[in-house]
Amino acid sequence: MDKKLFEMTLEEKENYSKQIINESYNKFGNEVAVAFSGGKDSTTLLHLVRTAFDSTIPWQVFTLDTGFDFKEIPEFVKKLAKEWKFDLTFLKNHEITAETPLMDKAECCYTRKVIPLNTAIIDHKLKALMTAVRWDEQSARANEQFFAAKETPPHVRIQPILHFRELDIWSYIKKYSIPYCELYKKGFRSIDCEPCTNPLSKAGMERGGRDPDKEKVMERLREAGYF
Amino acid sequence: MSVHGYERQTTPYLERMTEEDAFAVYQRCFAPASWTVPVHASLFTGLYPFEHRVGDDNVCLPDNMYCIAEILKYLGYATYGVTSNGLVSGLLNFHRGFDEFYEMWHYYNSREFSEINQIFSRSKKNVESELGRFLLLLRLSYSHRAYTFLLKKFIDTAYKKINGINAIVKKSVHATLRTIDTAKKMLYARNTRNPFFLFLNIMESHNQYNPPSRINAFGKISPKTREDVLKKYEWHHYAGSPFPAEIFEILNVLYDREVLFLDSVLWDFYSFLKNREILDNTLLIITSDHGEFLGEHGQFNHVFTLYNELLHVPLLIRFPKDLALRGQMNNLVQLHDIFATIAELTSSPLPIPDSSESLLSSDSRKIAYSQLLNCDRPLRKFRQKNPSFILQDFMQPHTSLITEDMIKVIRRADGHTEIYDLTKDLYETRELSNSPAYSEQKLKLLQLLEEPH
Repeated sequence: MDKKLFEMTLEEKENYSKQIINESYNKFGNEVAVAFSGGKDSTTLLHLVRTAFDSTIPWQVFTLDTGFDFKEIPEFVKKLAKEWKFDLTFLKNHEITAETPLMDKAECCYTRKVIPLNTAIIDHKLKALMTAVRWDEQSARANEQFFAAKETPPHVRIQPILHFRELDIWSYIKKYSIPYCELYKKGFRSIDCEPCTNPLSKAGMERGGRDPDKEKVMERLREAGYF
Repeated sequence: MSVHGYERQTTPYLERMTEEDAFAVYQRCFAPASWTVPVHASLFTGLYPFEHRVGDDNVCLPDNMYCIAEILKYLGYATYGVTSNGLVSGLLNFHRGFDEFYEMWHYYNSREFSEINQIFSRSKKNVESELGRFLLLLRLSYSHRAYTFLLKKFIDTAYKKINGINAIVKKSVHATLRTIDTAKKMLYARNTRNPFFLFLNIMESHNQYNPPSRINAFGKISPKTREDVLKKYEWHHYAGSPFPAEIFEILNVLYDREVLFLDSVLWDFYSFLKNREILDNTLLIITSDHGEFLGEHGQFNHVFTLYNELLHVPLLIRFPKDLALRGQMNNLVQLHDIFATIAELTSSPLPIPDSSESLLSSDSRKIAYSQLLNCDRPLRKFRQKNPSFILQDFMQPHTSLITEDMIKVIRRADGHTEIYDLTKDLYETRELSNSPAYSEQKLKLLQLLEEPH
């Protein structure tokens, strides 16, 4: 975590992010995808990409279909794809059926998120995946870099808004009147799959409402390819 | 309260304040729930009880929701909280976002002491023996390098025996005066370059009613009668013998005296803010989380039902000088609209829940929606006090809805429905659900009750 970057004004942070985004294009060309969860951070990231490329998004956009999403999430994702005209792909683990036995939280996350994401990186022959991870969101993300090499599968993780704080995200959304998922207007602060987003949690951080079992294994999940 | 039209002059100072100064007096403000915990959760998050679910099985303020102190802290405000109510406590997470949070049942209120003490309070439930708890205290002192904690804990425990949560319920005067004193000290000590947010919760006028003995307005009560009445709790009424009218008359006088005392305390604090020239640029909000039953509808305290004795609450706001909001306001508002109002006034970029409507908006609220999610806690207590206690039909969850034209529908969990016209009958004495004039409206109201958005 770079304190200087953290203390920048919002405008400086935006410009820094756009530099990372432009550098990504210069390095990897079209062989990049942007991960979009429908949450506030990835909406901000998509908007930054759009701003950097004159209101277009030059890369394909991946969204996970875990089967456990709040209904508001895919609704919002599709609406935004139509409005901002980006190339949207829903990623799903097709091996999961109604007969698939219940799993523990970490295994579930690995099966429904990590596997389809890694498969898509291989299938689309991507060199990099751009995500909306932030330093202050969770301790497992505090040491992340803007460009991070991943081994399984080999690709680079580009993280252009690492230095945005939670307040910066909302300030950015307000500044540019960016639409956001209506779940935030129902009081949710951080959104995961529906069974793992507990509005009654008391864990003490932005991601406090997320399942604590999963938060404990975040580092392992991240090593396996999770955001 | 006489400032809202009550016949006894219980709030002469608030009347003076609203006459002399630019206050907006909201005559139609309704709480989203009927007791402390869910109402404070709504006040802090701007959400309805069915959204935050606090007051159902859970009584802790959730982390996965933005709360007002946290938002203001993000925006650069110094945030201070002072509470006399044990339910609005750090233990239940209501301290979230406050730089300094003082609980009046503690002698020590430093951040370090509060944090370790809260860890101890949560962990001690799993430790059975006294020795085990003592060792836990030692371990916490050592692990936090707070070597005086043990001594402070000992002094604090002794203080709590005299002035603790249970004592505050019976002797709120001391905590009330200490609350105001603490608030003044914080405002004296603050860095005047930074804006501040101060939240004060005062237990005065909450039962048990025990106003200062020097206040003897509204009728004579002998010291012995007063002593006897002070021993009466809600379980005596619900799980023992219902109180006769004479008891309620005495309770009513004591309640009114508490309001009269509170009125003078609020005047003192208001004068302090004015004299320190803090007031002009400050949003000052005076309100209550809920009301009390003093025999109306056969009820006592604020345990069951959603009649207006509990929901219709005072709301007086002195907006900053440059806003022209003042005088008698007759638009429908809810207590948790304070959340959106503060968010708008401070230009917060964070999302404002749809459930909270800013009082600065020209659009007025269409419905006021309130809920009693769960009655299990009081019922458990009543069964402990009287195992043969008989459940009555009003002792179950309720929802209520008031429309813009002041028609109210109340529905119990068992489907029983009541309708009232609040323009003629604010405190619900004439039930209209079987009246042919309301049959068509009843269907619409029930539909609205299903879809509070």
